Amino acid sequence: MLCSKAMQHGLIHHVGVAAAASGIMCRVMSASAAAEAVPEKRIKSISVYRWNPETPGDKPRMQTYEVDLNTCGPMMLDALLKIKNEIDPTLTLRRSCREGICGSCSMNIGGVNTLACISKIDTNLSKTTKVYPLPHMYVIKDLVPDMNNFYDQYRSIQPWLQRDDGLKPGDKQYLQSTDDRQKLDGLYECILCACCSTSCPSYWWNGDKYLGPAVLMQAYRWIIDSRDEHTKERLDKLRDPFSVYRCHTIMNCTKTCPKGLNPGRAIAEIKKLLSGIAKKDEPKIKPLGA
Amino acid sequence: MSASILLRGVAKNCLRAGSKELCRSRFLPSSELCRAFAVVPFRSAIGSSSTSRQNNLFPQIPQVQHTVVRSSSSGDHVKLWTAERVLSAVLLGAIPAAIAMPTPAVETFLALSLTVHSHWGIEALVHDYVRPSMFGNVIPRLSIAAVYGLSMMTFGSLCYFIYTDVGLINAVSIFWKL
Repeated sequence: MLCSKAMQHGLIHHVGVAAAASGIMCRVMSASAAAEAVPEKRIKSISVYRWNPETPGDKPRMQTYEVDLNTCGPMMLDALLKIKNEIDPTLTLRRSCREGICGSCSMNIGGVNTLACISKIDTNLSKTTKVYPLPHMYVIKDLVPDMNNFYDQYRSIQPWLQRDDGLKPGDKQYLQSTDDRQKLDGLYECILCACCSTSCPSYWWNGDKYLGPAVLMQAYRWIIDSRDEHTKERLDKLRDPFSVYRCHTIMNCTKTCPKGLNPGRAIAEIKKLLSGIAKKDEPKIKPLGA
Repeated sequence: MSASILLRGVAKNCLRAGSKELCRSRFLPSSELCRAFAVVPFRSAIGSSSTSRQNNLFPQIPQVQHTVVRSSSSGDHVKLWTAERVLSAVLLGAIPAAIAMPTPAVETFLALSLTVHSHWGIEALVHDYVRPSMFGNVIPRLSIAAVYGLSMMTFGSLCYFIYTDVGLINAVSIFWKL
């Protein structure tokens, strides 16, 4: 009894705040009156790729679910979780942060690689939205792709600061000028969701040897870091015909990146550095001070 | 309440221990260890469920497909890439030059640069699509050889056309008049 009272109170309080904030008390009142009548359902069909390796002989198939958008959050991830919670608990997907910073829920929605959590549901009810796992990846189950090769490639570019001064991490603070720091903007924000790499035809055909845009952009991030001393070694590892040079500037990577980054440009910069057309600048401030 | 606090404390400690483990492995020079760290739990999980228990809770899982780990390629592609850019720049001058003075020597140079330009393009295509993981070791090599053959034949034919017929630029202008 007490509990329900408190809830009621909470609800009333909530409406009151909303009304005060918008300053349209009357409209809120009439809206809540209209809410007494059952609102028309807005049924949206969402067709999801399903495949379960644990069922012997299971073939990949599309399964269509119907979601009422009135009782669902605005994002694709909300819809998928609603399906999982209320319709079909066997639907399998990765998700974590639900705000576009972890990169777990990358998938192909309506033909575009993106993060389910930051892509709005298409509210056109006459169209079915199709959801697939990231293209040309081995599927573990439903919307979950096998990312081992991708992570292996990331590991192979040694994404950490490398110096020959013999200092241990934490011994000394490395200095970097504002300009040098700015060179890392647009690179370090990558969340490794693999949307770009899996949108790249070159990566589809030669993903075992071509590193792909996401990993190459991180390679570039460490190559141009003014504090890193292993620039030459890093570049020498990329000279073969496949690691970098399968990039044919198709630019699907830049087009699809859910974070608005530009891996295509980073790869072009690597090519310039490799050919010697461009050189890495000397650090404006020496990392260990003058 | 006290139980939840206790649980939270345990979880926190676990997390701290886990992150320390992670940090240590991050600074290991050998990537082999890291790879084992990343892959083995998944494999061993499959192994244990398929061998030990045969009941409904742990049904036998058929072999799960695994991606190959990164295979490397050797050789230096930097010079070829630079040559491609230089040739593209040269073509920007060679085509107007040939139009300005369509002599056999200039046209031969144009034919050569056009052939090499298209050869590198088609060679890249063959490298991309006729790949050993799909076609084995023989067909990709034969395809590359075929590309070389095609390019040589193209250049030979263009030279023959330049020296025995009206020449490239004239041919294009006659074709345009049609």
